Amino acid sequence: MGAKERGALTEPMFYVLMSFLRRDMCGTEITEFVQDKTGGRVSLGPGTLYTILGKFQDEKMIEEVEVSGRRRTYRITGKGRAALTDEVERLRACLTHAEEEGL
Amino acid sequence: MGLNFRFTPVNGYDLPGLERWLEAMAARGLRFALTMGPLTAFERSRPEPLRFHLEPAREKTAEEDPELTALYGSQGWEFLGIFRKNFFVFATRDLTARAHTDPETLSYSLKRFFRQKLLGGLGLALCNLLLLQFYRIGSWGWTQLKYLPAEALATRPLVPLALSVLGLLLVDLSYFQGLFLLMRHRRAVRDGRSPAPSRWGGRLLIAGTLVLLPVLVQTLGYVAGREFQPFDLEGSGFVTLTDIEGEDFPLTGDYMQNMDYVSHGTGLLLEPENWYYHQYGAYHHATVSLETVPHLKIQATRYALPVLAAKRAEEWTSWNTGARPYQELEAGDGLDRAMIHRSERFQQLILLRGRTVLHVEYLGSRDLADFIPDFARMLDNL
Repeated sequence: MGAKERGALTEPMFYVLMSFLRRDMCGTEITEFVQDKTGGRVSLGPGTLYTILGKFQDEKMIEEVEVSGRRRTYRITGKGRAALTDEVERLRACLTHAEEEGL
Repeated sequence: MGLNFRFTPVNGYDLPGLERWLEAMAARGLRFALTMGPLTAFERSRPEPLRFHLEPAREKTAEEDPELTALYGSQGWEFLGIFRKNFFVFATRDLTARAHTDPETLSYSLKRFFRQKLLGGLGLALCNLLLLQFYRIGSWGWTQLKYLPAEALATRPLVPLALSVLGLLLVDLSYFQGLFLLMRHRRAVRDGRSPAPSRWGGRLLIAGTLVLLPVLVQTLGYVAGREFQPFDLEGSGFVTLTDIEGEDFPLTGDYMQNMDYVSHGTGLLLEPENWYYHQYGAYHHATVSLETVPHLKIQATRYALPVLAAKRAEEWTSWNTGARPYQELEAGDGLDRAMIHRSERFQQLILLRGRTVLHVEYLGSRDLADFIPDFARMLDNL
């Protein structure tokens, strides 16, 4: 599903999906990644993270790879990578257009 | 530690309303523990200001989600329990904490939850259908209700039907109100607003539950077979054809026409109590019409109110009388009323005492009025 049909990712969704690029992650690791990456600019509440993980699972953009007690580890799928790439392209296009306009 | 139970005054889908109510209760020293139908149970605790959040469960559940609890726990929230299998209840002492920091994600969560509950309405509709089918009275029942209401009340499940309709209406309204509140909350989240709280949201469900509770008891009674409790005629105190006609009077050997038991409908909680039996004398099946055979039929009903018994007596006076009306007799033997009707076909007696009314149909050689004291004693023993 392309970005046009899916709709743009919100910042929390974008950074959550990004967190999986280098390795598989669990919930608390994702929260730390987003906190570190954005310097606290993007706040990831527990309910927000839980909902995003559920949404990405439903849409097959991530998959669960390990369950250990309270800890569930996820991995990004090909569909998830494609969605992230689409979003980056969209943001690049926005940035380019803004620069063309003198911003 | 003992639990304190409260009726939930807020609609079960009014998330902001529920959170505010739980916060108010925590400030009074009552901490959420669990729910039971329209009730919420609390544990006594130190009164303190807490921030509550109800997280919609991805599907109906009675079990904690370990991952969710860990995510919330890592940010200072404590898992307290599950609300009606729909929400995970979290609380924190940090009054500035926010469980959701992305409105679009929260909107998605609420939309998903709304769609689930919409589908759940199908289950509710099925319950409506099943319960109303169980207590349907048919088209003849409605005709009977129009012209012979006391008779209809004795022979049709009118009160359970009426309570079912009312109770289900209240529960259905509560459900639809919940869906509306969910939609309103989602819109408010999307628009960055706080929705106004609903003040009377939980009362519909409470009222509906209270109305349906006796219906549930009644239905369980039917299922358990407690409604029909016949007993032996012998030793019952009921006046028999033999008592009237004498020991030598031949009774038919046909068990269908010579009941050796009294048919007894207990009525359970919501319906009148009924007794019935009949006896016929011996007759030749091939050549004689049953209407011309000496017989005794006794029917008694005990209503919830004397006025209903009186109404039934009135309705009976309009039956099978032809041009000759019932004759009012002097009411002795503790009776409120005694009426007799004599025709070429048979005699009919109606006795009324308080909430109980008796109708006797008799074809034979004796005067039924002579046996009023016996029938009055029979009423005593019912």
